[in-house]
Amino acid sequence: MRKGGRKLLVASLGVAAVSYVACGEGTVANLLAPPLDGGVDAQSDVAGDAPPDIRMDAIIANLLPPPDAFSPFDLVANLVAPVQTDD
Amino acid sequence: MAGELFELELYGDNVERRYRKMRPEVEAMPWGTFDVSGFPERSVTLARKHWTGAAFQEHRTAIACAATLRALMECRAPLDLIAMAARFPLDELVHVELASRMAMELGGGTEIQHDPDVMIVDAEPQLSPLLRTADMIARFFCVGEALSIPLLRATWHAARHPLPRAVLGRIVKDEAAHGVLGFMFLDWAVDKLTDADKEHVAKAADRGIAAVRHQWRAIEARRRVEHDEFLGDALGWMQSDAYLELAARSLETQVRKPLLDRGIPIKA
Repeated sequence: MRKGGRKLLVASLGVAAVSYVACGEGTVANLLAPPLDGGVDAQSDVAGDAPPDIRMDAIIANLLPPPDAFSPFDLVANLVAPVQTDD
Repeated sequence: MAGELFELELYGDNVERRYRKMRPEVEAMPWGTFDVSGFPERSVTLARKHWTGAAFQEHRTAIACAATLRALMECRAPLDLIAMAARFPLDELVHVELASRMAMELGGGTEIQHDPDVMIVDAEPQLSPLLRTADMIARFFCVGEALSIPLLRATWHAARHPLPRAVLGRIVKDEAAHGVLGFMFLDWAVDKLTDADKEHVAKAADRGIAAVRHQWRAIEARRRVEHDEFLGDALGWMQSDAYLELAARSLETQVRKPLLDRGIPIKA
């Protein structure tokens, strides 16, 4: 019987929420920094103006992006989380 | 699909004791010493968000290291080089713990919803084992990890509190080896790659470089509206103009030049 297990990272729901999840056709995940004061619906401010070559649903549909496109998930770099939308 | 909440746990008992024995430096850090009461709530929330994002990113990096390690074995890279890379997933898991505990020290993690099936971009499965490995090595190590070294060092120097200094110092020490693996692999593999293979590796690196530049543009734009440099650095997070300038220089010296020197015809 396991007795010593415990949470290492506990998330506060609604605080500075970020989503890296595709929500279906025509939707991209929102990785823009949301407002910090109060709850945030990460799906509500979907970045519809994101360039098509970094749409999250394209990443979901096909893990191998077209040769000249890139995905934020092509990269792993320490400490800085991937960003989704162009600024 | 519905996202999964990014939260983590420890198994505990003998498993945790064995883990602590492997990496005793984690518990030796000055946990519980960061008093956030003097900082505005907004700044603390921002720091919590950054450290939670860092834990997520280190988690992704652990997956990338594990995927690359498998590929190194499949292409029969030199055994001692594989052994060197075999340590990296554990290093990254330690970094996940450090970043997670920093977030908890500041008041708790923030909300990240993610799809665990889509954490990294794998190499195309129909490629040869050598080219699959070179593809991942180029993006994850020659770009991502090589660029991390000078940036992490600068962030470490900027941190003033002993706790984030200890956390970042540990990560800097571990990453020194991670940052050179990619070019060591290329030094071994380059004679085995055809010109077409090198073009493929270059395109993989170009995608990584494009992702880096995209990330910097986002950081630059974001810091104008939400980052207080003094507080951010005090809380262990550096996003200053100096950081971005160093990043641009490092991309040239640590990534682009070493790739071109090895005959990888990058264009980005």
